[in-house]
Amino acid sequence: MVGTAPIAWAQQSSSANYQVNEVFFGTGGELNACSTNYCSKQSAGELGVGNSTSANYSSQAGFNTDRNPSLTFIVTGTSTDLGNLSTTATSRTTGTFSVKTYLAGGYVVQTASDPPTSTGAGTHTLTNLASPTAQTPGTEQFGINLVANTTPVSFGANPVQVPSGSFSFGAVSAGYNTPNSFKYVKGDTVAYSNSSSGETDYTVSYIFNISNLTPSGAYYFNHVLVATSTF
Amino acid sequence: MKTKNRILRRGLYAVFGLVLTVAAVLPGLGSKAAAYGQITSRSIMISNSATSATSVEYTIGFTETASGIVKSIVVDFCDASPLYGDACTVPGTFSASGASLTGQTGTSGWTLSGATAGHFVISGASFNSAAAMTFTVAGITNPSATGSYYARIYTYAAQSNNYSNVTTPGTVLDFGGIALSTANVISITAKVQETLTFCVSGAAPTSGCGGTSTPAVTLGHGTPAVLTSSQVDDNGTTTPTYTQLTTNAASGAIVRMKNSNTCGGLSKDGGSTCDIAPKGSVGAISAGTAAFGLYVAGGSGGTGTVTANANYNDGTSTHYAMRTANVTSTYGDPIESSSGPVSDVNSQLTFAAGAASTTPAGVYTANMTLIATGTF
Repeated sequence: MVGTAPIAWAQQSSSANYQVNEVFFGTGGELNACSTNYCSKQSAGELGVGNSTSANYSSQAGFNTDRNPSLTFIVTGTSTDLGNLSTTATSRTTGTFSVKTYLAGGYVVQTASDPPTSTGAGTHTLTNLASPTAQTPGTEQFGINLVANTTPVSFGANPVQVPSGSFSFGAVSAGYNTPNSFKYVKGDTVAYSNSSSGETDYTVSYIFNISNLTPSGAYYFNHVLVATSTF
Repeated sequence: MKTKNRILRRGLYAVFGLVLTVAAVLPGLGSKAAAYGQITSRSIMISNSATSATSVEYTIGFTETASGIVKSIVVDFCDASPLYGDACTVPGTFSASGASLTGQTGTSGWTLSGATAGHFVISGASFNSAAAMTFTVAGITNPSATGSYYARIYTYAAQSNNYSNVTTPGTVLDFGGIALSTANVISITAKVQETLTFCVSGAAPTSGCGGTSTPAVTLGHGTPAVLTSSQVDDNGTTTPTYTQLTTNAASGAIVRMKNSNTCGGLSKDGGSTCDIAPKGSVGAISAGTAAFGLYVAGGSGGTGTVTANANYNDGTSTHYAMRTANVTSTYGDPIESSSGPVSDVNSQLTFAAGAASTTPAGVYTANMTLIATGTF
């Protein structure tokens, strides 16, 4: 009998400078055992299986883990008409999105749109709040946050980890995580995770205020959010 | 019996040996080793996640920890898999055929070439630095469907690499797959109406035309107040008059004044004749001259600027005007204006009159109408 060591399936080599992913050392394994119409992943004698996590890292152990890095980013596409803005009361609305990412070092969600802008001649852009600021009717303001607000009215919501904080680690970025304070700077990161994460559901709260000087017109805000994972 | 048992045991040993051999050899069958490493800290940041968005910028980033390794990269975009060697279909209407390299860090002088719908090459004569490398590629069109799609990045030591296709990428140094995602857009519409708030008051208005009173101007001196030839009287301190203007009109507003008396001055017969005549152009009213006029101070307080019309303010607060043809015209005579939006700007109006020694006795009146018009 000749006892030969099995050849290692080394899609990514291991060294001081490389991550080690999807590597299986042992016997009795096949990544793609395929027939004409079906494929299967097979293993025997795995030494360790399951998910391990810490505050900033996670790993998927075992042969039959999914080897596909992924990013799932869903924005609930809504179209809201706030009607006529007023100098005596703040106009508010909300929107939602969810993020999850696998085999990643984390993700960021950035806001990629200009503040609300009117169309036609003499276009005007509502003044964005450059730092967290309370809403003030009569002062031209546009801002958002991603937490639950309580004053002067309750609206918005804190992030929800699905199914729980044991599997999902999304968080709201500084500047957008203070209840009743709002900010908007194009390009800012508004949400993030520092590791692979299950689903986190976010609620964006928007405020609009105008002053006596705000030019008339129809103002449009098409909020583009961009999610980027680092693998 | 013993012989049979030995034969049986030898047979069993042979079977076990064969099984062990097969078990040891089988895992070796079908295994393969690929000679590339993994690209670390890799990401692609896109400037717009909307489906079918055009002219989108993709910033490709990854980290090479040593200099002098990489001279080119290849990027493929696929709809279903980021994995090395898997089949690759360009996502929907995604297109990189118009891609151009607009920025780079961690190296210099690299150029983009070979751009097709789902593929391009970035390469240069110089090696990378030991740093995070980024390449900003503009002119990309996003997929038409919402959801995930993928990119594959290959690095090469040669500037002119031997990539052939996704299943034959050539002599790859490192490889990494990336997941991206398009998403819906949250659309919000809001309207701001045109606004114009104008008031005339006997007391200086507070914000939003608060605290106003009906102006009732009395010109004269003494008790009861009368006009004489000895002096010119105004209402500046006795029965002052104010206007307040607030408007979001982009080009501001004009305030015009009309005199109900068709003769333009002060009349005791309902406006048919004005024994106290309109002043005319701006200037002083001399004591002993029967004349009626207005001085406009110009705006104060609030936000924005309201400017007195030069016909009613030549810089001297005791100069007055009342232009007959204008104050009796259809729309009146401009007395003050703003060039843009203003809020809560007050302006004081000072009326003045004098009598001659020959001015007939009587009660002289005029109803002055002020009209604000915004240009939006």
